[in-house]
Parts: sequence; structure tokens; C-alpha cells
Amino acid sequence: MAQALELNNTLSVSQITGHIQHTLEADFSSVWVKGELSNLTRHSSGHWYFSLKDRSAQLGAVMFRRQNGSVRFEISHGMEITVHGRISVYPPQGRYQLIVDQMLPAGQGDLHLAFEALKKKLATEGLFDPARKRPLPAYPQRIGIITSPTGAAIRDMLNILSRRFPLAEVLLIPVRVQGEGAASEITQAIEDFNQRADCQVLIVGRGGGSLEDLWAFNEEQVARAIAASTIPIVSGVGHETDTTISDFTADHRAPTPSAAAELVVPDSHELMSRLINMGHTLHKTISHRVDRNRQRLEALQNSYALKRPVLMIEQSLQRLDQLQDRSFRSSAEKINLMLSKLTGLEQQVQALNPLAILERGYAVVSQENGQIIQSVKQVNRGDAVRIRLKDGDVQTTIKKVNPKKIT
Amino acid sequence: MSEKEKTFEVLMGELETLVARLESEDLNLDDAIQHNEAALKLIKLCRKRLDTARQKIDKLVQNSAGEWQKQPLD
Repeated sequence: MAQALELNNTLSVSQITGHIQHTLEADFSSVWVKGELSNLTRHSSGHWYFSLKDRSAQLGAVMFRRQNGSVRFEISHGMEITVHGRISVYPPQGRYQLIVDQMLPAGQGDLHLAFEALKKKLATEGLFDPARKRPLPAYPQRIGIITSPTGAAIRDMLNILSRRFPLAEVLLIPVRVQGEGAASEITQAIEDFNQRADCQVLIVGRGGGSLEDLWAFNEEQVARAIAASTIPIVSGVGHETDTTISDFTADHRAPTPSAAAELVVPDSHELMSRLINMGHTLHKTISHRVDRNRQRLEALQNSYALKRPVLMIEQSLQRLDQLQDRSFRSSAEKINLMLSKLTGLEQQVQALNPLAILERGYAVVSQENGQIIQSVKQVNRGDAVRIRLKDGDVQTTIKKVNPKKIT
Repeated sequence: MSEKEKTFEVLMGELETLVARLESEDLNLDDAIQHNEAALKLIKLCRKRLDTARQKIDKLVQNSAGEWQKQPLD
């Protein structure tokens, strides 16, 4: 019995095409395809439409103008090419095609595929791991160079090294850098330098050339020898745009041999000015410190604690002076006071001296017993009295007493 | 190792250490002055080395016995 129509499992054309589109575009988002170029149409829009074919199949392809501008060789019907791109499904026509973004002649394409395969393999092994990369010595004493002894690359490197850092010694192991045997020689030289172990850094490189010329640096043995080196290696192969597998396994990648030389040494002119600056900074730092200590010392010298004994002595001396002054002043005052008192007393004594009155012509009358007679009541007629005068005395008798009549 | 035998890298390393210590200021004055003198001496030495350096360039070749020999690069 014929299978019943399972309406629920039936797809529309759009649905199945959508599935196909999704599956194809996901599975073939980045592929390399090799084949013969045919049916080439260069459209007026600048896009190229063509087929890739081999004996039993063909594949429609398009390379848009934006990408085909970078194709560096003449394309023609029937040539073997290798292209890179992605599969795209065009639902309105139910067709799929390859959208090409890179195109190489087949020979070069093979190299390219080999390159990609080795790159992938070594990357999987972790040989490009950034953690493997070793730092370069700041001031290498000896630099090993592995390159051709002839040609511009070695001259450029030596020029730069001697201009920037003549202090470093340079050892060259001359090798062939292209053609048969080049890879083995480069590998051997890396091993030899490692065995000698007298260089702190190695440069492996060569000047620019075609992909084939640079191929030795894409060989697995060279890439592995670089990765295995215990001495840090800088690769400098070709021009800025060239990338080799050696660049990925080297500790540092320089775009050119000259750049590699610049990378491995410091610039002695910069170093020189750095040294001079260092000297200035040191001088400033130390004189600043000495100044600060001197200030501290001076502050200590002037501190009250240190000055106190001196101050105390000075204060005592001053006090002594003051006391001396005071005692001098007070004794002088006392003397003066005494003197004036004395003078006063003298005058007083003088004034009280009865003799002084006698000098002025007065007389003192006293009884025989010496008592001074001040009133008529003290004497009677016939009493003997003594009259003292300034120059002696007389004795006489009272003849009459005449009390003063009170009116 | 005497100063003369030391590589430029060793001298620069010593200099950088001295300067870093001087700048950290945890030294007493005596040590600071000593460090400073040593650093200035090293600076002088490094400058002299840079000033008088003439690059030595040799090519390494192996003789028949497999021994390495240095040859001037022509």
C-alpha cells in the first residue's frame, strides 16, 4: 500500500530550500577548491562569473569586484586555479554557487594549502601559544644571525645593529635562504647556535621574494626548530605583507630583517640620554636628601632641648647681674638713706645742742644740783644758781623774784 | 666578578636596582649616599662602554674536523 500522505511532514519548496541553504552555507562557510577555470564572464559591473570544473563535476562561482581586484595574475579559460570562498544558495533559482574571495594559480594554491595545513597543525599542537613566547634580553651581549651572507638583508641588519648598539657582538651562521636544502641549513644553524649557547638572541630571516622564495620559512622543520630553540628567536622574513609559519613559532615577529635588527637591540643614543637623565635624577635625589637632612640638623641645633643648657647659663648670668645690680642699688640706697637720715639727725642734734643757743648769746640757768630753771617758781631769794654762757659759767645768788604779772 | 668583566646587561641591571632603591627612600642617608656614588660610577662606566663600543662581527664556519671557527665577514 502506498504510503499515506503525511501532511504534517510535507515541506513547501521554500521550506526545503531554506533547509538546504542553511545546511550548505553553514557547512561550507570557508573552503578551498581546486579546479579548472571555465565559462568566464567578466560582467560590466566588474564581477566575474565562472565555473570550476574537473572531469566529473562543475561548480558555479562568482568573484565580486571588491575581491577580484586583489588577484595578481592573468586569468584565462582552462587554467588550473585554487580558490577560497563560501557556498551560497540562491533560492529563486534553486541554485548554489561558490562566492570566491581569494584566487591563486594552482601551483601557488598548493603552497597556500600546505601553508594553511601546517599552520593549523602546529597551532593545534600549541606551538603558537603566546605563553611560549620568551621575552628578548634588554641588552644582548652577543647576537646570532641566521641568513644569507650576501644580499641586502644581512647588510641592512648589520648597519642597524652597529648604529643602534655596537656593544653587542654579532655572529653569523651563513645559510642558503631559498631553494633546495635551505630549510635544512636554517634548521641546522638554529640547532648549532643552541648548542654553542653563547648568544642571547637569534635573528632568522631573509629579504623579500615570491612565496616560493620564502618557502623555506614555511617548512615544518624550520618552524619546529624555531619553536624548540632555548634562545629567543626573532623572525624577519620578506616584506611587511609576507607572513610565514616561522613568524608564528618565533618568539617575536618582525615585518622585515631590518625591523628584526631594531627589535633585538636598544638604541644606544636613547640609552645614553637615559643614562644622563638617570645621573641628573640621582644627583637631584641625593642633594634633596642631603638638604633635607641638613635642615633637620639645623632644626635640631636650634631646638630648645639642645639650646636649654646654654639658655640656662645665660639666664643665670643675667639673673646674677640683676641680683648684683639690685643688691648694689639697694645697698647704695640704704647708704643714701642712712646718710640723709644721719644728716637729719646731725642737724637735729645740732639744733638741739644747747650750746648752740649759748652761741647766739642766750644763757642757761640751773640750780646747784644741775636742774635747769625754767620758771620763777623754782627759785627763791637767796638761792644759789649757775648761769651757763657760751664760754663758761658764773655762780650767783637770787636777789629778788619777780613773777610776771598776769594781766 | 670585577666591573670590567661584567656584561653591559649586568651593569644596567645593577644600576636599575640601585636607582629603584634610592627612589624608594627606605635607605638611611649613609646608605643613600653610598648607593648614589655606586650608581654614578655605574652610569659613567655604562656611558664609557657605549661610547667606545665598536661592533665585532664574525662569520661562523665549521672546519673539516667539525670545529667552529670565527672568520671576519667580508
